[in-house]
Amino acid sequence: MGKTPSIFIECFEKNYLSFIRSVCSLVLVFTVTGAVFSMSPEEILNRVDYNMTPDSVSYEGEMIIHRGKREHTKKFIMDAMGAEKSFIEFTYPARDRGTKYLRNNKNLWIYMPSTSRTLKISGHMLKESMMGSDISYDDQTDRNKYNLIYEGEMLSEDSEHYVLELIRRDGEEAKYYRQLLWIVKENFTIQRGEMYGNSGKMLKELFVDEVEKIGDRYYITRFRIDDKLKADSYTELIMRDIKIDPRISESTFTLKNLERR
Amino acid sequence: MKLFGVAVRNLKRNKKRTFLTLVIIVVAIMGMTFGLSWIEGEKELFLESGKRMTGDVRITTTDYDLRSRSLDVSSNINYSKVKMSAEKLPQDTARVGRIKFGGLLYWGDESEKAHGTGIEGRDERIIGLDKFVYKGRFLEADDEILVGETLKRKLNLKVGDEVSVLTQTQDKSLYSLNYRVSGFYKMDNTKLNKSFYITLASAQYLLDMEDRVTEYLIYTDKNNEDGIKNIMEGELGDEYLVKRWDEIGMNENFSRVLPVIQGIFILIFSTLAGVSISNTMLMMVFERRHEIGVLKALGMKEGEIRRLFLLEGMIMGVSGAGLGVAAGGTIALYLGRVGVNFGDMLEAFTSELNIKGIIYPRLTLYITGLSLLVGLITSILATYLAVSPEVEKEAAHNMRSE
Repeated sequence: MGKTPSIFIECFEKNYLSFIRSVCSLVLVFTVTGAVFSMSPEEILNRVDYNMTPDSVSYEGEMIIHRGKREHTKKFIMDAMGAEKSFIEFTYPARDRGTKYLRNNKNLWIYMPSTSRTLKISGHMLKESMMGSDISYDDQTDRNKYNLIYEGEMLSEDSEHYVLELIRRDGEEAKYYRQLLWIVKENFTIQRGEMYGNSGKMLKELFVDEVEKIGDRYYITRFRIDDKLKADSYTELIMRDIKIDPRISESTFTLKNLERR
Repeated sequence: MKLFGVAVRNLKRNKKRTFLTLVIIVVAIMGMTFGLSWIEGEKELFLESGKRMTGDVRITTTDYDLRSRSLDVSSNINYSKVKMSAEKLPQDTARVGRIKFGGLLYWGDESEKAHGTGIEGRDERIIGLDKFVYKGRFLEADDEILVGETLKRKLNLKVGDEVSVLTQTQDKSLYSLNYRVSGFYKMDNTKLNKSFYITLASAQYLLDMEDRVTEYLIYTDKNNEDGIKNIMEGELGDEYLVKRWDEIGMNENFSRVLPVIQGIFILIFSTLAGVSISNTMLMMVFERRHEIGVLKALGMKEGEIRRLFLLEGMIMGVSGAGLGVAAGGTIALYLGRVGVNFGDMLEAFTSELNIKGIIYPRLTLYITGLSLLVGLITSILATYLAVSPEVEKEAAHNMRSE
């Protein structure tokens, strides 16, 4: 057994009340910090999910695709509802105007105005690039909550971030097998992410540049994705005129609407 | 002349034996002539036809060979820049830009995977579409498509039908355009018939490749590929890959391997013909050992007997080899005109070369001369080797056939 710390003895001798106050302060500090430390990955992801996946959302998007020295800009409007219903219509450039995407559950349909054809895409094709960007069809249209499809584990934390490792839950069909997320403590938004495939290879890297408070949620309004399988390539996505939980008709997410000219 | 007359008389004396010996020589030389013509035809098929499709000199990006296997059009070059650089080449060269890509051809609810190529007008004759189009016509507008026979059959297409081509642009974005079928072509390689052609301008729009091509080909009638390659390398620098036709894909392998294979076949055919002729001549001399003894007993000198038999061998060799070359050459020339269709059998090898699956045997002066020489030399040599030991024996031994 060690000796009693001299500071306590001194306090006790000098002022009993002061000693009690010091002990209470220490207990309070430990309680508060303990509460923060004790936040589980599940709770953190719940907060992230709340921010990122409202019941419905609509916005105008601008995709800036960087390929070496070349840069392409594409614009679209997006409506999304629930976990797996989304509708995207491209408005710019002229070549892509009228190209529409409809995601419903695990299927995705693309309508091409140049040939008035609708194509169905599913399975591994959902991992393909959307409109030549570094964002896959799945990245853009899948709105499943992290907590439902990933098992989180706290890797580390500092004064500003939690670093979580997310592993796909058994039986779930997640876009990536493993993700590392740097989550901002202040507002529970993702600041940075690394996405890995089954092989352990890093497939994509995410950097969030801007977050906007809309109502009681912090919504990412500008981010950048680097496709690690493509050299010298990244895509920026800027979201404007964001509406959280707008009323969107079910008829928006139908093939009839997709093929409407 | 006297000895020649005796030799001819000797040959006529036993017509059956002479005929059989001649037949052996004719068959051996015929086989050799035709076999070598066949090999020459194969060489022509693999190399010359491949050369037509790859150009005498081809310009691409440095990673094109690897990326083109998956029909990845992101490996492309600046068309205007290369075209301008090629202006420095001799005027008698033909130059074309092409875009090779993969896609889906849609007709109604049906679709088929297919290889597409964006081509310039002058490619009609270079590729040979002026001969292969059997219905309709070549491309005249950017919204037209020329479809291979297999695709036509699978999708049940007609001239004038509007089909859709779906493909991935150079940035991996899906895009599709509608085209009106202008005609159908049929090549001898069935795999080639599962492809389609559109204009280069249309392919550039479809694939979002303004002023880009996947390959730029240069054709020359003169054998100055090295000169052209050097000029283009100097003009374009390290960003581009300039290759001679025999440095491209399977052309490279074939141009290296085929001469070796040809050499092996020459050896095999020459040996087979030589051994057959030698065997026949040996048997002929062996049968006439008694005759050699009688001639010696009658006072004929060893040298004269040897010369007589060599003359007989030479007459047989010349006439047999001549007839053999004529017979083998006739077959080779005939099949060289009509071709021997291997269709699907050669498909696996030739699809990469983009060439036909028909072999046209090719009779050359070299093959004719070589066959005649083999027939003549082996006949004389075999006769000499068979006769020499016999003429050196005592006449009595010859007559007792010892």
